Amino acid sequence: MDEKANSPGEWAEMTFSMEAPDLLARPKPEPGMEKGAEKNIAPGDSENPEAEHPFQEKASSPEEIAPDHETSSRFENLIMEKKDPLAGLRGALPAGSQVGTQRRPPPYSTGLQVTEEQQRYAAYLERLMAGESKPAAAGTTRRSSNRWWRWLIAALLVLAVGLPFASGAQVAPAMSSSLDGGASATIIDGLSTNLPVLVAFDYEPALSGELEAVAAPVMDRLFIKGIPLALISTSPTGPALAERFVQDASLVNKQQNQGGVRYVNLGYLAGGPSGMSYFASSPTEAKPLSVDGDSAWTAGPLQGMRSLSSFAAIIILTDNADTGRSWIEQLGLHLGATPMLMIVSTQAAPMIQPYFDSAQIKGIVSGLPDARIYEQKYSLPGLALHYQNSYSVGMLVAEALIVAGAIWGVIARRREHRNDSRKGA
Amino acid sequence: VKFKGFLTTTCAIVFGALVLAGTLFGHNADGTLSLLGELQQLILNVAVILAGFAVLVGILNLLLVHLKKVRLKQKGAGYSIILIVTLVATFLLGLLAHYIPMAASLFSDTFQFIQLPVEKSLMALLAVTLAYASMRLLRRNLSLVSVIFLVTALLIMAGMAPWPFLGDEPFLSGVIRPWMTRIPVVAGARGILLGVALGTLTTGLRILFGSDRPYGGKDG
Repeated sequence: MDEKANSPGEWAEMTFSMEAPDLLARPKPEPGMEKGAEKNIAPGDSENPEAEHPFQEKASSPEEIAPDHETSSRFENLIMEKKDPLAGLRGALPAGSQVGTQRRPPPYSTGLQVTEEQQRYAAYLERLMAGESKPAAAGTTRRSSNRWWRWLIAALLVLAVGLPFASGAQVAPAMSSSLDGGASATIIDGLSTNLPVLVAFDYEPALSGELEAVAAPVMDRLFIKGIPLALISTSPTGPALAERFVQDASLVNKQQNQGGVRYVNLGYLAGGPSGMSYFASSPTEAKPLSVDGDSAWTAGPLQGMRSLSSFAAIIILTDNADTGRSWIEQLGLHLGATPMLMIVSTQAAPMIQPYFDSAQIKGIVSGLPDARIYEQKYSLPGLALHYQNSYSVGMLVAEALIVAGAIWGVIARRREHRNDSRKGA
Repeated sequence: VKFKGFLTTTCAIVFGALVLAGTLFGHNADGTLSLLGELQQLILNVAVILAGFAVLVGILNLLLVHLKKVRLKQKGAGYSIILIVTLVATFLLGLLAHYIPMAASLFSDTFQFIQLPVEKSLMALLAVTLAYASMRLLRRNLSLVSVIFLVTALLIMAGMAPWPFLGDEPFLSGVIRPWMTRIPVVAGARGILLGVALGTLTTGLRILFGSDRPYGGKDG
C-alpha cells in the first residue's frame, strides 16, 4: 500500500482515479538503500534477471531480515529476568508480547523497478487516459459543409423543376403506353351522358399537386361530355378538395361548373370502411343531404338514383393504397355492371395494380405519364404537359445526384477505413 | 371492471356476428333486404354516426389538452394559444358558412390559402430530404442490401419519367421498368395484399370468438 494512503479506502480512491499512479513514476532510491538497490536491481544486469520485471518489488535478503550483531547484544543486555523463579538470569526468552518488540524493522522499498522504455510507455498511457477524459472538439467545419451541401442539392432540384416550368420549354417527348393500356379512356368514352358518375376524392391536400394533375384530363373529359357528377370523400378535407377541383378553372379547362346542376357534393362520409359499406348498400340513407344542406337524391343530377349500380361509373381518386383497397372491397358486391376506375398517385399504383389485373377494377390512371397520354389522346393540353417537363428534368437531376452521392460515399468510406487502419497500425 | 369487459365483449361478438350474417344473408331471393340485411344497415348507420361523433370528441379533447397547457403555462403554450384561436375561428366560420356568404368565402380561403400550401410545402421538402438521404445512404451503410435498394430505386426512377429531349429510353422504359413493375413489384404487392386479407380474417375471427379484445377487457 502506498505510504500516502492512510487507509484502504484512500488507497482504492487513488488507484481508480484518472491520474497516473505513483508506481508509474520514476522510483527514487531511499536514503541508505542506494547502494543495495544499485547492486541488486540494476536494469539489464545479467546476474539479476528478476530486475527486468517492471512490477517486481525489491527482494529482501535473509541478512536484512535477521537482526545484526549490535542489535543482538543490546537485546541480551536489556532482557534480564527480575521475577521468580528466573530472577537474575540473562538471555531467557521473553514472555508474550515482549517478543520482538525491540526489533527495528528493516527499511523496505515500495517503489517499482522500471526501465526507461517502460516509463515511456507509462507516460504514453497517461496521456492517452488524459485524452479520453477530455471532450472531443465538435466537427463544426463538417456540419457547416453538410449544411451547404443540403442547400446546394435543394437549389439544384428547385432549378431543375422550376426552370422548365417557368420557361415553358418542351423537353419531355410524348409518351406511348399507359398502365392500363387505354382501358379507362375506352370506358369513359363509352359512358352514357344521362347517368351520373360517382367520384370519391380521397387524397390528402399534401398530394393534391400530383392527384389534381393526373385527374384533370379525366374529369375534364367527363365535363366536356356533360356527365353529371356526385362527389364524396371519407377524408375530412376531401369535400373542400372536391369543391376546389370542380371550381378551379385551370383544372377543368375554364369550364363553369355550377353546384347542384352539374355536380352534387355529398360531403364527408364518416366511419372509414364501415361508412363505405353502409354507403354501398344504401347510398340514399348514408348521405341523404349535400354539403349545402339540400336533399341530394330528390332533385338535381341524382334524382331517382337508388343504388350504386345506377351510376354510370365509379371513379376513386386516392393517394393511399389502403383507402383504394377499402373502396374496392366494400363497393365490389354492390356495383353490378357499373365499372370502377381508379386514379391514383404513382406511389399507390403498385398496390392497386393486382386489382386491375384481376378485373376487380376496370381501369387505372396513375401518375403524370398516364395523364399526359390522356391529354395527348384528346388534344387537351393541361397541367400534366407542364408538369411533365419539370418532372422529366427533375428526375434526371435527382438520379444524377444520387449516383454522384453514392460514388462519393463509397470513396469517403474507403478513405476513412484506410485512415483508421493507419492509425491502428 | 369485469362487468365492463363482459359487456364490451358481448357487444362486439353479437354485433360482429350480425353484420357478418347480414353480409352473407342480407338479401332475399327477389333482391329485397332480409331481416338480417336491415339489421346490418341499422348497425352500420349507428357506427357511422358514432364515427362522426368521435371526430368531434377528438377535436374537443384536442381543445381541452391545449387549454390545459395554456392554463398551466407549460412549455409551448404560445403554440397552443395559436391552435385554440385558429381552431375556434375555423369552426365558427364553418358553422356560419351555411348562413353568411362572406363566412363561406373566408372558410374556403382558409383551406385554399393556408392549409393547402402548408401541406404541399412540407411534401416538397420531403423530395429534397429523400434525395439527400439517398445520396448519403452508402456513406452511412455500405452493405449489399443498401446497394440493391439504391440500384432498384435508380432503375425505377430512370424508367419512370421520359428523359429530357430523348424520350423513353428503349431498354429502361421498354424492358426494365415494365418487368420490374409487372413482375417483382406486383408479386410483392400481391403478397402484401394476401397477408393483409389473411390478417383481417384472423383478427375478425379472434374478435368474434372473444379471444382478442381491442376495445377493452382482459386483453384490451
